[in-house]
Amino acid sequence: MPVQPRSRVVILGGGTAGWMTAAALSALAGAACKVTLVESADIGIVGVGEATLPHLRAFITRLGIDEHAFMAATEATFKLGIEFRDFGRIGDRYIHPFGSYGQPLNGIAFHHHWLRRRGADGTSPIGDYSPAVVAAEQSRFAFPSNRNVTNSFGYAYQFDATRFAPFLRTWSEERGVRRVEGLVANVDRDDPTGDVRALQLSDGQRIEGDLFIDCSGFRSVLLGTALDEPWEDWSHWLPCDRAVAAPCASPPGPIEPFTRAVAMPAGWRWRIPLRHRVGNGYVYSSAHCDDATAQAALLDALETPSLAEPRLLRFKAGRRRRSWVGNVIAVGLASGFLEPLESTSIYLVQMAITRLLEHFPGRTIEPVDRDGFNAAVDAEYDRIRDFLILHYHATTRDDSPFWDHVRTMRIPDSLEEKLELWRRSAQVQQYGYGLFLEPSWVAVYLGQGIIPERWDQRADLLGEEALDRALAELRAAIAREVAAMPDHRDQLMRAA
Amino acid sequence: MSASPPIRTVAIVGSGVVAGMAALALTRTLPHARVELVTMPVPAEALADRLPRLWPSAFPLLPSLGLAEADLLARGIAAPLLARRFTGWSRSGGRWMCPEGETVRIPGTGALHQRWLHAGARMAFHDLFPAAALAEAGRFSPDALVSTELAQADVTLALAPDRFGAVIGAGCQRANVVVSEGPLQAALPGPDGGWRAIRLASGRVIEADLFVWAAGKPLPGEEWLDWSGVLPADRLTVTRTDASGLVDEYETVGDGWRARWAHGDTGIGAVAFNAGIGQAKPVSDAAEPLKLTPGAAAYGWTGNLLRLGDGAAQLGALALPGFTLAAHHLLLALELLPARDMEPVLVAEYNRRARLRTEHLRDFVAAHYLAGGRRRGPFWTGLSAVEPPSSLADTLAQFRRRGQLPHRDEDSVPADAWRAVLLGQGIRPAVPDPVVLGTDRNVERQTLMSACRSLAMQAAQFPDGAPAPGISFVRVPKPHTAQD
Repeated sequence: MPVQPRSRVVILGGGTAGWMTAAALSALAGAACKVTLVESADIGIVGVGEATLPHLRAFITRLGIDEHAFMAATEATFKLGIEFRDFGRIGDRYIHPFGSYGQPLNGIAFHHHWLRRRGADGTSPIGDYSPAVVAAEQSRFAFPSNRNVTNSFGYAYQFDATRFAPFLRTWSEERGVRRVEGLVANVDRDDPTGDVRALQLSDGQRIEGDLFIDCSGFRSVLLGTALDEPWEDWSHWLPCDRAVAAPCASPPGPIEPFTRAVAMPAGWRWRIPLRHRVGNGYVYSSAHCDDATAQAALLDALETPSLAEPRLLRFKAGRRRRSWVGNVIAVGLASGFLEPLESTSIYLVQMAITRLLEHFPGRTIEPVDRDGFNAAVDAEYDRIRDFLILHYHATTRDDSPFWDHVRTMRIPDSLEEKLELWRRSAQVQQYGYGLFLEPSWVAVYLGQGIIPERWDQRADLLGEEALDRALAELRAAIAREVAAMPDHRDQLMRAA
Repeated sequence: MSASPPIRTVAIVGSGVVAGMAALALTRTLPHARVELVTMPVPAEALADRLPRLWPSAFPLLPSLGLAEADLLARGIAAPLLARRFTGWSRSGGRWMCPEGETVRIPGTGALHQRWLHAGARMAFHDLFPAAALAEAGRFSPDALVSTELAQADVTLALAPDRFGAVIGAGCQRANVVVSEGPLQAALPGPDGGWRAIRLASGRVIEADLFVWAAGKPLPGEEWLDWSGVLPADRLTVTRTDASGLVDEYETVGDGWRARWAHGDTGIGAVAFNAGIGQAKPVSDAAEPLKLTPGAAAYGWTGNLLRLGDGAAQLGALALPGFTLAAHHLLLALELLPARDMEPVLVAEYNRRARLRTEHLRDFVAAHYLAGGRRRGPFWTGLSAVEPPSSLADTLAQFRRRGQLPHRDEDSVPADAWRAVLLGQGIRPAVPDPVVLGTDRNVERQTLMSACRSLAMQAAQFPDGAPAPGISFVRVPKPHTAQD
């Protein structure tokens, strides 16, 4: 295999996406590339993703970052799932846990057995068979262990996203990433290939590179503006296009190890408990709610006074048709946007970085690099999109024009097929790769009241008595082991 | 429980192990249904029935049959196979293996095959498989599969058709499967490409909610997708040989390839070739070539008619994947088993997933021919001009570029097996993996060699040859992780 000189990678943008990319490339591909990151203090960062998914743990571990140091620097708490309130109908609530419900019995997924005994004496909500749900409900947390029945869960973090990028910046610069302060005045492109050759900065600096990573956020300076890659609009399925955010002081009492999403008349409201404050925001559709009303609704819902002026964010659901064009790869918001209902923003950054490492081109880019990367990214976006739409569409709410719209809208065929499969058979369309596998779909389907007509016929082969006994034993074991877990706040003190 | 009542009658057509397996699994899944097996001789060409190999990916079917792989091995119903060995297949002509299971786990940075490529080690990639170490040593014990160092080893089950058929038959008898004398004379069409009823040669008409065609050949007159271009061996001669060992052997000759397969207490010698190109020297003058028709039915399930075995897809004799594919199809059918009204959404989902699984397995077999290996000899010369299916073309392009495999749902082949074949055939990625570039080659080389020596030493502790009947063991579950 020929030895190639290190390629020059230029990252534009110093937010979460930019510094995550810089950190990963410097730590994992330092022998293959030299990384320069261009950012400007004059451009604020969105600071996406206060709430994250368990995959972030793998990212941190792979880079060799100390979890304690990371959590302390970002005021992080542990997260076991997301609580959804009022989505299926007003008054409903459920937790989408990080982990599965129960365990397969006779090779059949647990939810089929639970459906069979649903409504029978002694059968409790399916959440009682999830260690993550039970622990979240009691604000307890312990690290997963292989020793007991509570090992079937994962955990993520809730953190101050504005502190994540600075943490990674320090970490990356120690590993050789060159940071350049400056604003892009011009993008020099090659004729006739159209590839980007250099970024011309307003102070006269010229940053040349072989590969350019666009982490410039919604502005999408390289992929969107310079290369004019078309935008695929998904706002007809995901109509929320604004958010107003305001932190408040932590109320006394337990720190919940979960994020809360509360359905609102024109969208939903988040609540993310950190160590030092609580993050709040109202994601809404501007076609159904004006900014002032949204802001008032958010402030009205805060448990303690706001710590800062509410901040308004504008966005649109969708993605660039391709994330990698020529020698430009967009990562994060420069590539696309899916609203944070399931905390996917940082995951999408991480996923793109992983795919980039898999398809890292060296100094010469071939179409096969781009094709492989784009196909993998597209599949992830499509599947997450369907999952998010499900949260809105699976409702009986008719109390506002917004919910009327999302309840009655035409959904993607791919989601319609998944829904129909579930309704008829309690089967979840299977895929082996990507985010939100069977337990997640089961959580939302059941949590939002879509009860299938029947279950896997093989579940009936287990005797009722034996099944009831197995369910009771599992429930008791989970309750017992969760009761032995420390309080979440105490666990954070230990980790500090 | 359901608005639509469950299936109450099933009629399965076929006399081979595929039909029997379907009857047993369906009657155990639907204990209140009447399951009827209509005998119909399976042709000698029905490789899924005649030469059943159960790959580890399909072991999850066994509980549906009331069986376990340990029990099949212990009772001598199956022989363990640790690898397929290929001689003359790569352009350089070297020998390589596709072992069962995964590569050994060695602490370090990056994927093991990328580390091996970077290190430039002299050892073959397959030497990093615990199963290969056992195969090279000619040693096996079920204990090897639960030992710490060799835990990534696995086995394919070479099922003895007569013994396996007897076990399945006994199971069917216990489960009150009704056996009716065939053959089938006519099928009376029903809605959506299904059957309303079948008429037997005796004149008897059988109606059923679900029909299974498992007669070892495509349905007469049915659309059959022709894959002979990418699976070019369409003739096969077979003959009994002496007992074989723990490895299936494949060696190229100018007109095709020869194989030596384990088969119960004996072995089978085979020669595969293409009728339009030439004829390799048969292993026995008496052996009549079998006519293979590589391809697949356009749909595996239409209306109330499910196709299994060689009537659903034929992927040829190389690696003998037919029975494993039938097992996967049956497992999927059990998972998505519709109610009596044959919900179209379930049938559609079955066809979607079954097609993916069939095509990915076809790609794996086709890669042995089309991944740029041997091109000398009449059989092989023309393969350079054969265009792979687009999914395989994508796999080859991605692997040639950086040693990456596209993520595929419904793949019966572990990623390490794909890597063993593509690297064995001589593909060397053009671009190095950035993650392993920073490691010291010499240190990495020593690390890998040390691991191989350790594997060899571990393997040497186990007894020669296949296990004696009566040995039993408990397997540590090895779930196939969706995402590393």
